[in-house]
Formats: sequence, structure tokens, C-alpha cells
Amino acid sequence: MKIAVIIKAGLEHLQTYTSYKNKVTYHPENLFLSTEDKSALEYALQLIEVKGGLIDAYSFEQGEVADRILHEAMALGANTATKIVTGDLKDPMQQNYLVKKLIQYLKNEGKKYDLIITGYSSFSQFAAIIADKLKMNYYDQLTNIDVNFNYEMKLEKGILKGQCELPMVITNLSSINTPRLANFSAVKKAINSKITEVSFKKLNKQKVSQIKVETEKSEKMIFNLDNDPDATSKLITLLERNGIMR
Amino acid sequence: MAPTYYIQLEDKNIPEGNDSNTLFGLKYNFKSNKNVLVFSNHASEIKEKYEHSGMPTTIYNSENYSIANFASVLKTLKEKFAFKESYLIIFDSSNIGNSLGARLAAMLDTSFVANAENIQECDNNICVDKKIGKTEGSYKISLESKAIISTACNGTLEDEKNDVKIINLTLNYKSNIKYISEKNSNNDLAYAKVVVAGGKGLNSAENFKPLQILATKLNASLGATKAVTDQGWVDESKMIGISNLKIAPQVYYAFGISGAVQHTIGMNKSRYVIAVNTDASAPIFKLADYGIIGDANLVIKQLNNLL
Repeated sequence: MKIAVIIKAGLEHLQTYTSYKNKVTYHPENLFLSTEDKSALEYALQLIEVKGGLIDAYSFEQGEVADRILHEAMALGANTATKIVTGDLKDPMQQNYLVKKLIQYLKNEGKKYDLIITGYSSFSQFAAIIADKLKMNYYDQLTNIDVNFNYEMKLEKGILKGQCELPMVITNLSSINTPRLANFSAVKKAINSKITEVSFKKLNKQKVSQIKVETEKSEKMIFNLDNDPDATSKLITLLERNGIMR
Repeated sequence: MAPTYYIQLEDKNIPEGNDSNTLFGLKYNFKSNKNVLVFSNHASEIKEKYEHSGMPTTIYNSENYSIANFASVLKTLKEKFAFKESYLIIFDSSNIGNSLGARLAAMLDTSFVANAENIQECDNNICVDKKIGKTEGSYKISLESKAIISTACNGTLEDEKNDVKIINLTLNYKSNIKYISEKNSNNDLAYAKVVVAGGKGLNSAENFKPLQILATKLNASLGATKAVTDQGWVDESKMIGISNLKIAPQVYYAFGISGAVQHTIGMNKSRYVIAVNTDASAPIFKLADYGIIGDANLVIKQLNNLL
């Protein structure tokens, strides 16, 4: 089986972006491979243990974050690592462009996959674009999947159960499995492993979204009915103004 | 400005895919031409609800439609929008809404912004914010003339009626996917976007009647603390807290609730908390974004009169 895993950093750290005097600063030092991508790699490893094959890891993260998470992926068992050094895949306005470029790159390199796993991406459309453009089946937000391709997708009040068909693109949550830990010799080997670098033509600056950081805390307002007989109507006005009550 | 189309799924066998809070709230967020497109297997039963949405509605109906049949919905939408010059398609900010939105955006070759917030007009266009993971950063996105988003907002139904058209839905694909509901799937409180909850500070079962009226006016679900359900004033299934439901609504109104940790553990993930209590030092005010120090029953009465 040929498997590609597109990995990302886990954006759990509040201070990844900070703002001072309207300038947004990015802090990559706390970013590591996301838990969903660790589970995606674990699933890929389970599949090749049963069916044989190779795992290629790709990342759209930039600079030291890309190197760090690709080394993590190789320590866990990925066979090759490729970082794409153009653009920001998290930006919804760049995803369409970047994914089309990735698909073109895969076609040029003659890379065909039976399975592409993208970790958690319900916040984005890039996995859906890959599936659509490569004419692969698409299963997203999987909360469970086994090596026979039986899957579960969580909705709000229940789950959808079915069976996947190859070739396919899947997105998954961390609940699909418990990832293994990398052993020391794998970590040592991964640190010295080669990472292939790929760049695309940059996207027009006007089509890129701006990043902002909310520095103002939302107002807290507690009225006192004894001192202010109009407290209730003032509360309604405030809630309506802030879009909380209509 | 691009016309907006809000997509709803109404499967009588599966209680999800639609959100009446967002349905009734969208009219406040968009000034452009607004429409609702519904995919359903029981059009005649849901027609009245959509007559009060404040937006002209088209129901695509087929007896055999199922929420798991993504392919037929996507094919219908693709055919409708493939040659339009501008549109903003809106899905619910839910797993199923995000899944359909991403798939449709890929098919229509346009952009998709999941869980869009802070919708605003900017330079004759629509701008939205999108949080970057759990960081404090957001993307400020100016949507193109063709775009798809998922979002959530609040509103109440309109008194006046609008047009609802029912047309036949052609099902091109069969779905072999099974739906299995969770144990709380019939309890609307577990999934409500707006919750109005009462505590022992309301003093009697009788005082929960005005609270229920307020809940209806706010298109909200009624909840209660354990102290209230233990007294039998409200059904046990409505208990919020460590012993029963843990919920995360957009808006949580707490009336006569002091905020003991056994209760707050069930609601502390609410986006906005509005508290009313006579005791200014009650712990609920630490969680509250807005509130009133005063008699909860009096405030409920005033709210019912003013809304």
C-alpha cells in the first residue's frame, strides 16, 4: 500500500500568536506534531504491518516547525518526509491554491497513493479538494476506523457507520487509536534523516488573509436591580448590541 | 452583495442537520437577498417552521431521503450553483455542516471557511473571522463573490409568513451508511445553542412556568440545577451538572443559580453566561459575562414583558 500522511502542528498553545502595538508575532517554539496526526500515522503503520507498503509524510508548516514535526513523523515510522515551503495551509483563502499545487507536484513526481490521511481537518477543505481532484473516495472526521476499513463518523447526536473503499482520503480524530511512542534509536535516526524541500510559486498577496490577535478582553457588565430599576432593559440592549440576544 | 443560501437537512428519522437558532438568526447578519434550501423527507410537517424563518424557502423533498445521503444533496447543490456568478452558501457550524461545506467547495472550486465568526460587511463585501486552532489568533477573511461558510448565530421566529416552495428531490445515489443515535439524542437540552436554566433561587415549581415562557421567546431549552430536579420541580432529564448533562451552549442564562461547582462543571464551557441572583458574591458571577444582582423571578417577569 502507498500511504501519504499530511501532518500539521497541534495549535493548542494560546500564545502561538501574540500582539503588541497591532503587530502580530508568531511563536513556533511550542508547536509539535498534533495528536490527530500521531493517530493518523499510527493507523498508517497498522495498515502496512498487515498489508505491507510505505508511508510518505508531507507538511505545509514553515521553518523549524516543519522540520520538528517531520522528524517526529519519521521517528514514529514514516519512510520519507517532504516539506512544502510555500504559503499557509491553515488560511482558508490559500488552501485551494496550495492543494492544487500539491496535486500537480504529486502527478509530476508520478506519486499515486491508495490512501491519503490528513489528521483533523474539519476546520478546512483541503482534504476534500484532494479527494475531488484525484477522484478518490472521501471520509471525514472519523472517530473510529479499523484495518478492514470499517469506520465511524461522529455527528452531534449520533454516529454514522459504514465501510470505506480504496483509493480514499480520510480525516480523523485522535480517538481512532492510541499512537505508539518512538524508541530512542528511531528518534536518533530520524533527526539525521533527509527532508525533501518543495516550493511553489507564491500566491498573490491580496488573496492571503490577515492574522489578527484579540487583545481586548470582552466587557463584563453586572447591573444591580436595587440601584437601577432599568437594569433589565439595559441588559437586553447590551445583549442585542453584542449579537447575543435577538 | 452576493445572495445568501442557508442549507438545512430535515430527516424525520435523524434529529440533526438543522438549527432553528441559526435559521431565525441569519436575517440579522446579512442584508443581501437571503434564501433557505432544505433537503427533507417530510416537507408537509416542516413547512410551517420555514414559513416563519423570515426568508423564502425551497424544500427539496423525497420520501426516501436520508441525512446520510450526502451525494444526492451535493449533486443537487452543484447543479444549482455551478453557473451562478455570485453566492454565499451557509451551512451549520456542525460536523455534518462542515463536512458538506468542504465537499461542496471542492466540487464548485471555491473557498470554504468553517466555523466563521464575527460576520461583517466590509468594502461592499462580507468579512468573517476564523479562529486559528486554540490560539489567540484569527484570520480576518474577505470572502470572494463565490464562497461557502459554516456559522452559528441566534434568533427568534418571525410573526409574518414567507413563501415556502416544495419541489421533488431526485435521489441519484443510495447510501449504505447506518446512523446510530447516542443515549441523549432525544434530549434537546444536551445539544441546545441557547439554554435558560433555573435554580433553587426561583423558590417554587410554579415559578418555572414564566421561565418556560422566556425559554420559548428566546428559542432556548429549559434546564435546571440538581437541587431543583431533586425537589421534582423540573424533570430529572433537565438536570445540568456533574450528575447528568454537561453542555456547551452559545448562550447560558442562569436564574437563581448560585454556581456551586457541581452545577458549573456542567455548563462552564458555555460561550456567554448571563446570571441573575440576589447574592452579589455568588460564584456564578465569576463565570458570568453579563448579569443582574436582583430577584430572579422579578427579572424573568420583566424579560417576558420586554421581549
